Amino acid sequence: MNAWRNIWTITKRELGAYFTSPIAYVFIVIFLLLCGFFTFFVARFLDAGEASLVRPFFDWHPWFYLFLVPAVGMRLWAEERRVGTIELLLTMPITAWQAIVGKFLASWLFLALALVLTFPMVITVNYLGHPDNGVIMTAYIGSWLMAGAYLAISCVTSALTRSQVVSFIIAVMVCLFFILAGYPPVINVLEQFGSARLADFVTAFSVMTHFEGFQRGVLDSRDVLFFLSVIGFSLFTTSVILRTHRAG
Amino acid sequence: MQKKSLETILYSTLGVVVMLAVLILVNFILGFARTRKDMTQEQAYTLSAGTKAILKKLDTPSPSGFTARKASRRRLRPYS
Repeated sequence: MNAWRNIWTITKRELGAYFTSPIAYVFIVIFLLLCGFFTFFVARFLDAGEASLVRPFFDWHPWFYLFLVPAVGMRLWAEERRVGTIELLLTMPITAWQAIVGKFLASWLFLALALVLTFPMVITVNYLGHPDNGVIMTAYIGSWLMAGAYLAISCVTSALTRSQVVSFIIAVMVCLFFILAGYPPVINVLEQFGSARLADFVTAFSVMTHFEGFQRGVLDSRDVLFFLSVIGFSLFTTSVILRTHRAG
Repeated sequence: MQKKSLETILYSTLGVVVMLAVLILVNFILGFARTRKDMTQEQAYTLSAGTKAILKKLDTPSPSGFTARKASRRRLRPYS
C-alpha cells in the first residue's frame, strides 16, 4: 500500500512539472493540430464519405508518436542526471522502482490526456454518420497502449544519457525499428530474400501488427500482452541502467 | 573493486537478456491461450449462432476458397 502511495506522489509531482513548463501546452497543441491536419487534409476525411475514424485518424498515430512520445519521455531521466537531482531523488525514502513507475505513469497519463482531447473527432464522426463506436473505443485503447510502449522505450534511452537530444534521437530510431518491422515494403523484402517464417517472426515484434487488431475493433489478449511486455521490459531495463550508474 | 563493478554490469546485462528471453517465451506460450473480445457493434469478427449451427451439420470435409489481389500488397495475417 505504501509503495503505491510513493508512486502516486512521484506521479503527481511529475504531472505537475509538465504543466508548470511550456512542454505540456506545446505538446498538446502540436499533437491536436497534427491530428486535425492529417485527418482532414491529408487523409481527406470529409471526401472519403466513410463514417469511420480508423483509416483517416488512427492510421497516423504510430507515426505521430514516433516523434512526439520520445519528446515527452526524453527529459524523464536525462534531465535528472544533467542537473544532478537524481542523487537527491534516489536518496528519498522510495525505491528506484517506485520512482521509475511513478515517472512513467505521469507521462503516460499526460499522453492519455492529449489523446482524450481528440474527442471532437469522435463527436464529428458521430454527428456526420453512424460509426461503430466499439471500434473507436478499442482503437483508442490500442493507441494509448502503443504510446505507453514508445514512452517506456524513451525511458530507457533517457536513462542512458545526460543529453536529452541524444535520448530523443536514439528513442526515435528504436521506435522506428518497431514500426518498420511491420511495414509492408520491409516485410515484402524479408519474404523475398528470407523466408515467410522469418517475416512472421519479425512482424511479431512490430507495433503496427499489434495495433492493427485494435483498429479492427477486436481486443486480443496477444496484442495487449505484447504492449504490456514492451512496457515491462523497458522499465526493467531502465532500472538496470540506473542501478549500474549507482553501483560503485 | 574493479572486479565487483564488472560483476555488477555483467549481472545486469545478463539479467536484461534473460528477461527478454523470458518475455518472448511468455508471449509465445500465451499466444496459444489467446482470448479475444469482439467489440464491433455488429460482431463482425465473431461467427454467428446460425453459422455455427450450419458448420456443425457438415459431416464431410468441405473445401473453402480464398481470393486476394496481389496488387494490394497487403500482407495476409493468419486471422482466426
